[in-house]
Amino acid sequence: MTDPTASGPAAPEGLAEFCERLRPKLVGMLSLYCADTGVAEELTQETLARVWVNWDKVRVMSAPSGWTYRVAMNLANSAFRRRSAERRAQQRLLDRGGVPNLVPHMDPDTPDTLAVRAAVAALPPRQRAVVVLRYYSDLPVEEVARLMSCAEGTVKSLTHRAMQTMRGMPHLSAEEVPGGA
Amino acid sequence: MAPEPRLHDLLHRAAGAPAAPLDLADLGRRARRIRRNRRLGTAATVLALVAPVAVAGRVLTVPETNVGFLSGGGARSATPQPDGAEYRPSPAPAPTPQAGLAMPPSPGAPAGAPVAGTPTPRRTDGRESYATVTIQDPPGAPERRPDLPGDSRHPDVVLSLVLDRTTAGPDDVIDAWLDVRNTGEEPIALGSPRCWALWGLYQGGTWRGGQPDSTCGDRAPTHVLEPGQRWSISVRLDARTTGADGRRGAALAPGTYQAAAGLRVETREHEWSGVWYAPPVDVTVTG
Repeated sequence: MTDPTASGPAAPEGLAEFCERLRPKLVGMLSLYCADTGVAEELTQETLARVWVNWDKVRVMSAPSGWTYRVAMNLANSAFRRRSAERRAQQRLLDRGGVPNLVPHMDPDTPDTLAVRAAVAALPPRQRAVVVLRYYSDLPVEEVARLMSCAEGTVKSLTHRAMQTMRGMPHLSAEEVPGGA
Repeated sequence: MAPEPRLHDLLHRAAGAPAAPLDLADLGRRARRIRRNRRLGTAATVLALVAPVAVAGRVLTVPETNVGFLSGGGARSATPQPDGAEYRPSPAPAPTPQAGLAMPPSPGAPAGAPVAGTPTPRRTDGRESYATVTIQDPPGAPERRPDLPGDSRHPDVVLSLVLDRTTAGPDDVIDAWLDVRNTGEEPIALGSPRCWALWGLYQGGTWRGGQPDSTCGDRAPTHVLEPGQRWSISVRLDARTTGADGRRGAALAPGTYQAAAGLRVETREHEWSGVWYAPPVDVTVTG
């Protein structure tokens, strides 16, 4: 069996165009979901690597972008689990009087951008996923339900709860946050 | 979907953008790494399965009590359990075999539905016996496995649901075990049904209750099941409706219900994830 990646970076036909088209959307979606653009770029690259590996199957799918979004969300969820372990490790280090490896984050964005980013980041993971997929990626409810392996009613109730939470956050008015569901 | 322009715009402004152009060479290196890991994983599995037999030079005889749920009440995988999951290493044998536990291949299953196995023959030595049927989509399951078009890399998983009894009074709780076996060649990750609330009592495909007052407190804990490994999680089926707040509701009306349980399965490489169910088991609720 030949490995197209073994002899260098010769991408299969059509792959580069697909990746170019989806990459900005993936980075945006993951940066909102993970609240970290650096992590989002890394996860996007990992996602697209999986697209490459499975390109023969992905290119004939009726909705290849849906498959790609799902891979990206799965990777992000795994990253959360790793980060959770890291946080516990940092906490243990702090408890022992050590210095955690924290890098200060400078954000030059405008206040409303910061507010939205903070509001999305503060949501529970599943609510955050719904908000990002519905309002950033513009996916319909049924597609979000399929991506998240849950019922459409669950997506609607998660959306409703997310909107309620976000409306209660400082700097976000009811005008900015829709009714949800 | 009605557009929500303000939030949409805000999210687009808040979302990050790629800082650098697409690096195809890096993608190629990552793809090569994924392929190499897959090959290593397959080779390790083959070695793990073949080496003990080859070295010993004889056929391994597995004691019947170690076959686990296939023979009933045997040893189960002593792998770590996810947060909040109860582990039943070896359920106590029932005094008599339970007649209702034999599960025929999903009655009413749609033609062509994938059923990867057949019921295990019952034991005849008087000990408890659980018949199992390998899965997959049972009729009346609350959610279908979300097949993705063109994606054939579904993990190879066998699930079976084992109940301690099939008849329950209005205030009874049925103890059940969801056994999971990775029959594939790659590791899979399992999400707990506790978080996803994927068990309960159904009637004609409609959820009626059965879930005790447990709620999803955190995100799905994940347990990785290596090829050939088996894992067991205990669930409890309450013969009551479940209220909207997840609390115990009224007693279920007498009748026949289908007990179902499933969990989230994901390939380690994150290329596939979905909800898989064990075949449902009929449960009679008495008045």
